[in-house]
Amino acid sequence: MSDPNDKLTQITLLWTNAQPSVVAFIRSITPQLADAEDILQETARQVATRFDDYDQSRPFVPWAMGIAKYKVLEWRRKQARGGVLLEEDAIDAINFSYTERAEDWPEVGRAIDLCLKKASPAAEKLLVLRYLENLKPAEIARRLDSSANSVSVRLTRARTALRECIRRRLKEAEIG
Amino acid sequence: MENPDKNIDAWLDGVLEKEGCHELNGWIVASPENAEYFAERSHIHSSLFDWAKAIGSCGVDDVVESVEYSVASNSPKIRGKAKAIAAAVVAALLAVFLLNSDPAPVPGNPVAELIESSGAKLVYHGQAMAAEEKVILSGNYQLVEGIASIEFETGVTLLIEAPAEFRMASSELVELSSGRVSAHVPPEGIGFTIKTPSAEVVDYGTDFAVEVGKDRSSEVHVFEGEVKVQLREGETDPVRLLTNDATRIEYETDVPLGIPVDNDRFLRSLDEPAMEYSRIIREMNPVVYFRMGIPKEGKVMKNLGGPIDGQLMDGACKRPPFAPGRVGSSVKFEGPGVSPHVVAYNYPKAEGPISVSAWVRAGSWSRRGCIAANENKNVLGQFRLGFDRDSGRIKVRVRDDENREVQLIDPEVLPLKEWQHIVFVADGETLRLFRNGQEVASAECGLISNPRNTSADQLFVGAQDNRDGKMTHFWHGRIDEIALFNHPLTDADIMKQYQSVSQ
Repeated sequence: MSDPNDKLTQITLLWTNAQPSVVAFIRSITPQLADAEDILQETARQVATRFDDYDQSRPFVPWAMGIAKYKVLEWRRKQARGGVLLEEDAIDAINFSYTERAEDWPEVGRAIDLCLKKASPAAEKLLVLRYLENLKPAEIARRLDSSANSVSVRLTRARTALRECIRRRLKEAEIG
Repeated sequence: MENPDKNIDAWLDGVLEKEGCHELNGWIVASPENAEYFAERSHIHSSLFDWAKAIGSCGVDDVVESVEYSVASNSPKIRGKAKAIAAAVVAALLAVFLLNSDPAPVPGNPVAELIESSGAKLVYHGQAMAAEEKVILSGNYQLVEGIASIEFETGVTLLIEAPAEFRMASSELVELSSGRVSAHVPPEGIGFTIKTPSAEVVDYGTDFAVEVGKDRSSEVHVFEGEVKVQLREGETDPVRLLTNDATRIEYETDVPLGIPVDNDRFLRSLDEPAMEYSRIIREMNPVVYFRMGIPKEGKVMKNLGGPIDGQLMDGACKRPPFAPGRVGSSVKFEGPGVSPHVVAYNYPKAEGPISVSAWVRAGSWSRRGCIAANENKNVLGQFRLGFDRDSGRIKVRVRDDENREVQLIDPEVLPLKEWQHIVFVADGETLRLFRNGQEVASAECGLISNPRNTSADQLFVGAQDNRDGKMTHFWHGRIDEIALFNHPLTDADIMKQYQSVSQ
């Protein structure tokens, strides 16, 4: 594509669609938000600089996910030895799954929105503390005058309930 | 793993201990279903961050306080905020894209120094660098002509051959987009990295070379030491290369292909080593001695045997016509059409006996490929040394004092892609041809024709001029350490030359 404006439009559209999957994959490997943000930026930079290499006859998300994986591995290599890190074979497998299900994720995203509307206020409060304030279970426990273990269990229940809701929604969408 | 959800969530919350992580890792790789389950749960985790960011834009305290009473508050307003965040990310991406698609001159930081050059023409962010400019700033470069030797503070030196495109990212990282680079990394520079479109080459103290082809594939050759080649994507295990290892990584596949190390392709130094061979040749009093190394002053081929220097003619060559030689570097001749050659005008021609010695490495048996000659415009000069038409055998022809042509042909075909030591000697009685220290042919021959009876004044190396000023009979391969003596070399001299570098 010779016109830079056309190219910009194209990369914008493709990246907007791919970004939720890419960021989810990165966050799944790097629980620290700041690291994930850095890797996302590096990935976006690489996607932009290497866009001419992208074969437009093929899906964009797997290509972008490949770059994200490379950036994640690069980050992983820089981490101190002895840190708690997923191994490269697990990262490979997760990346593969994310890529394989690339077409499902937008649907999952829509289902999450709907399911969150049905979350109980207590569960929502917990999710807000965890995800908006980015607190660890121990800190949430202090806020709520509870135990870290109890918070972890409740967070897991909230996520599991969310997942089950999403599954139901997806199934309904399939049938419908 | 007893409770995958618990471990996955602990991981995503950043509170999983090492042992649990190990267990989770094993569980993920145990089956694709497990990996998919992890992906799904982590996707929910990520979506929750985005959801929280969106509702957070209306005030953290408000959200926490009001959440129990306002479950539906994340509807149109929140979606609007989410879109705003997505737009911000896209804007950032576009900014990156715009920056990268417009390589405007940006003054970088000094990262290295141009320590030597052979006709190097560097372009920095689209602007030609002045020849006297020695500071290498971080940023984008093209080497459009010549050879550049660059040194970093750590002592890492790079020899870059034109044409090449690269980015000096820092004093520890060079991104090579295309071209050929050899690197010497002392212990202080361990960790120095060359990034290519298909791999990242991390050095552990070594001599190695990298070439990025037009198809963006990369080759890494290790001459000494160890490097790690981390593939860009796809295959994740790095390739470790030790001394005399090499690998090729295709851009499309990212799969490393083991290949033989190529000691003959990459230039490793601009300097000709002060080796025994050079001393031996000079002790034999040559009148012309071209080491065939990389000239540091334009196209001048320094004559170490006398005052008449040679001129390197390489107008049609796309890359510097040099390659590793038998001793140091050599001139690389590309064969018919585009080949360089060396000319020395009015050199001191022989007035009786003559000897010529050279190391040659033929790439093919090019028709009448010329190693060295004193002939032009169909006028026979004193000698011609090269291939016998298409036979692949070395022939020497001289004109003696009675104007007779005497010629010898090596009975054996010259091996290709092997260095061979070639010498001929005309001592006034006999013409003798030697290969690798052994006489391979001889014939009676008087003294060489008097210079006054020959009209050819030039000495040609790598080609000859015998058709109205047009060069022809190009050599295909390399020629190194060529010397001309106006006296006969002895058998012992010839063996000494041969053995000084062949043992």
